[in-house]
Amino acid sequence: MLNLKTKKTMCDTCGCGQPGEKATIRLPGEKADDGLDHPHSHDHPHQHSHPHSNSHHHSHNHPHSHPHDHPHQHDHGSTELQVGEDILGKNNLMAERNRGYFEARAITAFNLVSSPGSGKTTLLEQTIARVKDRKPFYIIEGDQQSMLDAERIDKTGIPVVQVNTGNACHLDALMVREAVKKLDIREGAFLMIENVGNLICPSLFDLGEHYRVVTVSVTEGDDKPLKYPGMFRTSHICIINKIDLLPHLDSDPERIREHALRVNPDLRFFMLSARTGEGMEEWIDWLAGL
Amino acid sequence: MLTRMHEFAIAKNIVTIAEEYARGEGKSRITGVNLEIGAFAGVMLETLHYAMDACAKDTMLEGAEIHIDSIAGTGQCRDCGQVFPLDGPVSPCPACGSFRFDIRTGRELRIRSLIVEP
Repeated sequence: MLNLKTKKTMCDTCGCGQPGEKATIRLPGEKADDGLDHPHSHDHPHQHSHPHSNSHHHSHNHPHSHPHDHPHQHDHGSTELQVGEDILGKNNLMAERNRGYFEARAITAFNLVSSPGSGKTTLLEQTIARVKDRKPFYIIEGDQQSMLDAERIDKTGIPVVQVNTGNACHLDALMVREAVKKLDIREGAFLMIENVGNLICPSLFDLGEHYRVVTVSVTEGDDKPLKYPGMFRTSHICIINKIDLLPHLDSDPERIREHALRVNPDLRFFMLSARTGEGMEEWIDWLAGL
Repeated sequence: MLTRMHEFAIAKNIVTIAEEYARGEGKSRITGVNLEIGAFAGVMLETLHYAMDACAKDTMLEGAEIHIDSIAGTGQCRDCGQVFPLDGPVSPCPACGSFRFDIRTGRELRIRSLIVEP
């Protein structure tokens, strides 16, 4: 989990001792409050050529974790301390707190995930345009850098906050909590969280959403769900976007659906073009019915 | 080097949790970390080792031996109930051929234990 509050002065990704770059959370037009949106240049020398001689791993074929109760002999009076803790436990706990907050206010939260360029932001704009008269909307935009997406959403007149994750490849539950504090969300609203464009890392980080929505465009290859099963397995909804481009492609959206179902038999699908509006109605009807 | 990998976020969490546990027991140094990582947890072990080296620097874990037990995947078929080893994240039930299964093991991301010194 990326720490928003810690004072650690280590780069999030390479441990290079740069000043700690943490996530920046801003409303459109708002200045960065902590000067952390400066570019983090990596022009300092790295010496990362050390051998991993003190690390090893091996596979076990037995499926169940088991207590290692055989005696360990360690020098210098060292002892083995049992931990048994989930590495992402803190994020999971924060996600549950977010979910509790949402439920207390009858807020429905969506975590929108995809590869970069699948059309998530256009889908969001078009969804807002069609539903905003029926439901109050709030948006959290996650990107590594820039206010570009928040500025796009801001034009729709919907409250939006931008989270720049800096070097991190995903939003986490703590970032969402901090962003939610800036939004002051009305009861009964929809909160749409547009995650960083990435099909791997965000799949591990529960944000406290009720629905995880994975968007895949027909230009990405029909085997995408098989290549990135983690994201499709943890999603509830799969939107197959850009179907207006099908005449120009070899893609078959039914094949995408079939592949996704192999990974997650519970997925619900919408096939649409956010650009032309084709197929949007079914998605909008489903949303409006929640 | 490749940046922006979630293995670094995982490594940072490992360091935080390990230091909390060791401090709670009044220990000052961690010489070993035993992890359980599921085969389908979405973690590249090589990258995690690398990330652990980077994140352990200047912490109680600096120089600690990182031992990873990889937990094999098992699935349970929704159609016939068969429990079977998963060769990959998308493999059909060997009994009935169905792809409708739930993952029973293989998604673990756990710190099992620490080797600590006084």
